[in-house]
Amino acid sequence: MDDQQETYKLWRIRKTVMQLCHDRGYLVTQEELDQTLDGFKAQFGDKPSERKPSRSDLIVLVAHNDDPTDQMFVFFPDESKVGIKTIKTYCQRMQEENIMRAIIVVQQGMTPSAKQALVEMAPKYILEQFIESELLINITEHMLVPEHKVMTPEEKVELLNRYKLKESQLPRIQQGDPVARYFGLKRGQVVKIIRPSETAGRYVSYRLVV
Amino acid sequence: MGEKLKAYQTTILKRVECEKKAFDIVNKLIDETVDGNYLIRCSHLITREHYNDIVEERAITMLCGYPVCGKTLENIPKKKYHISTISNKVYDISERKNFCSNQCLKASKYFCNQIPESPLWSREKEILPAMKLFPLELDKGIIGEEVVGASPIKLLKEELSKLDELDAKMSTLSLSSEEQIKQEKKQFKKECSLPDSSAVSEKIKDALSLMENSALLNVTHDETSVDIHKSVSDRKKVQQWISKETNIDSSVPEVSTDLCLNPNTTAHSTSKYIIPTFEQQKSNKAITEKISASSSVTDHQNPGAKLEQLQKILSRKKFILSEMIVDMQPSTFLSLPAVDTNTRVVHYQDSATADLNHKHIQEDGKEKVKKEKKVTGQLKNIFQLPLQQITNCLKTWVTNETSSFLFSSSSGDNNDKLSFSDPILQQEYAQLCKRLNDQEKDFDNLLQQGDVESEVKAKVQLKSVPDYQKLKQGTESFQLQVLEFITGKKPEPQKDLDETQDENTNPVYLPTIDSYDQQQIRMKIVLYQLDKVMPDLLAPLSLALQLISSLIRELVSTFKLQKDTIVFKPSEWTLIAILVLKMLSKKSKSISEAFCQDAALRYFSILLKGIDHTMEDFDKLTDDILSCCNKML
Repeated sequence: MDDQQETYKLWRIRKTVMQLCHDRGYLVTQEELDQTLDGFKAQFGDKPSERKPSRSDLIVLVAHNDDPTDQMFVFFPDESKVGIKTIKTYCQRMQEENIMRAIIVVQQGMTPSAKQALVEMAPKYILEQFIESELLINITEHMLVPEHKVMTPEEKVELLNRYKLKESQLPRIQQGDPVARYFGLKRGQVVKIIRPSETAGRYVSYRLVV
Repeated sequence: MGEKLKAYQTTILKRVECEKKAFDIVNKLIDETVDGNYLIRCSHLITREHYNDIVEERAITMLCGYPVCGKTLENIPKKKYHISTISNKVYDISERKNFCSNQCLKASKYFCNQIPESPLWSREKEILPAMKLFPLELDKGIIGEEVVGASPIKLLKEELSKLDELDAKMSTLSLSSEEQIKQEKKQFKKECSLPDSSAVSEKIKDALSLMENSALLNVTHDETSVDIHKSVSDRKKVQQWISKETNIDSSVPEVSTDLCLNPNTTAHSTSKYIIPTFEQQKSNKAITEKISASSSVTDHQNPGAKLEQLQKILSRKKFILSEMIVDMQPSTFLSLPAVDTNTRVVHYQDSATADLNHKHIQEDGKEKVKKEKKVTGQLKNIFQLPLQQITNCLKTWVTNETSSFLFSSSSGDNNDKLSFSDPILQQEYAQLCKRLNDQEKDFDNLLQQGDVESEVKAKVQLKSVPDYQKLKQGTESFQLQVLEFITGKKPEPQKDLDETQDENTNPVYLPTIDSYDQQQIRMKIVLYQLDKVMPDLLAPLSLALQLISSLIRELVSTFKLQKDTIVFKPSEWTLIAILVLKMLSKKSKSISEAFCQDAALRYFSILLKGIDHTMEDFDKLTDDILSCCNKML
């Protein structure tokens, strides 16, 4: 029973992670996106308590659609609380394989020093952390979450020119916003938010990440 | 402006630098185990948050959270709380999981609390206090944060203060046996629950219940010398038995974590307990010697024999304790502490022996106190039997109303004012209640309908007029009650006058208006206590509680209760209950007959044998009490 629940949880998490990668523009096969629970069990096993699969087996490496050298890791640490040691090992691996981005999916949380370590590596290596429970469902599929589209730098420039705006005149969205985290947004990026509207049919707004 | 900016920049850079340094230290301490001096030097460069981080990080890498300790963590329990069966407490052990032992946890907390709370960058100008590391070798540590309940030390202290009070009262009252039993039981429980593995615990529970039973049986006896022998032998039995158990236990290689944690707490509370009792014990000793000097030769021999017996038991106990400690040494969780506590106890013993050149002081401090208490209590008991005190108290209770109540059936004169059972009175009372309710309703109506105000007023007046006489009497008696309450005594002569008046006119019974009436409260207490012990006594008498309870209620309502004469121990309440029943048997035939039954005779003879009394004594005492209240008439 416990195993069953755990397997289900892992499957959900991995599925959301795949969707996340896809939405960020990384190359994920349709097969992986549509993986069923049975498919997951067949690939990884169904006894998480016996380390079949262990969390570290779920590791994902994806390459970007446009630039195959831009790769991203998704780590699943085995420890329930991640310390600075684990972060260091992940960093080493990223250095070895020359990968700049990574997502760490932790079970319960990180120690403050581990978080600080993430921040310290920030300019060169970009590490984001998610808690497992955050990834059980894909929040962007929720009916109350409007569609977000990340704009490319060119699109952003065009937008500012078209409306004769300065950056600071745009509405804002925080970097820690769940959707912003989902897309891994950086400060200065702009998202286009499209809401359905009763009067206008579609209501488009733009938000600058701060 | 530029200078200001520069100054800002430097300060900010400094702060960042401080943070960086702290982070480096954290990184270092996470990986390495350092010596105490280094840790102290680091303490000025980090905050408490940093330190907590270090602890956590170390625990994640399976190192003991205390940076000085280099042990690895093993057998980390999964549970979040530890339920201690000794102290009946729940501990939050989530913090404890980060450390290899209780000592490390305590030392770590001790260190953490010394780290200054000020921000890192502001520490330059501060005079930093000298830091100390916790002396690891000396202490037993703590299990974790307590979640529910009070600490055992507190409880013991409370008990001690209670005992002190009792000692002060010694001149008039003998030492509370109940307290002793409790204390003994407690200690015993502690000792028992040391081998806490589930298999043993059940058997020990049995033993404990046996103890309890014996205690219960002997409550009444306990004040006399016979009982001490008895309880001692009982305890001895149980102890021997438990020692066997522990022997068995020692063969079991795996020792649970509970087991390791327990001796620490026990030792802890014990040592705490020892210190405050020291002085008290001295004073006790003085009393003991005084009394023993004045007591007869036979009395003198008795305690001597007992002392020897006690000594035997205590040495046995010590042996068991040391055995247990040896048992626990191989466990992973317990390394230094057990040995330390042991040596500490021994050390204490040595000093105690040197200090007090007394014959029976070769045991633990706590044992000493207990024993001396026992001896003093026992010697006192010889002088003043509990029964005597109870009789004295009862004598203060009884009033002329009591005797008139008890002998009313024979004299045929029913002037019991407070009788509940009188149907007429009850009716009147009900009427009064109803009337008051009506009046209240009327008043409500009055408030609601301002228009018909005058009408309603007239109505109210009409209604209350016929009762004016009664109400006047009511106010008078209420005034009397108020007077009574203020003075704390019954103004007897006035009351007598009133009573004669009452007899002439209609008797008025007013229920107490004041729910905080002292008499009422005391009466409630007495009735509650009697109700508790009554069922046990009524069973052999084959009397129904329903029959008796109303009689008891009436009898108690005639008592004049004082605040210091209603405090008894449970065992004494039993005696009081017997006396009350005896008194009631003067009034009710059925009760006196019940006392003559075979079963009742046997029961009471067994019950009273322990305190060297017979039923005849009780008869005598009852007569004594009643004659006392007759005298008042």
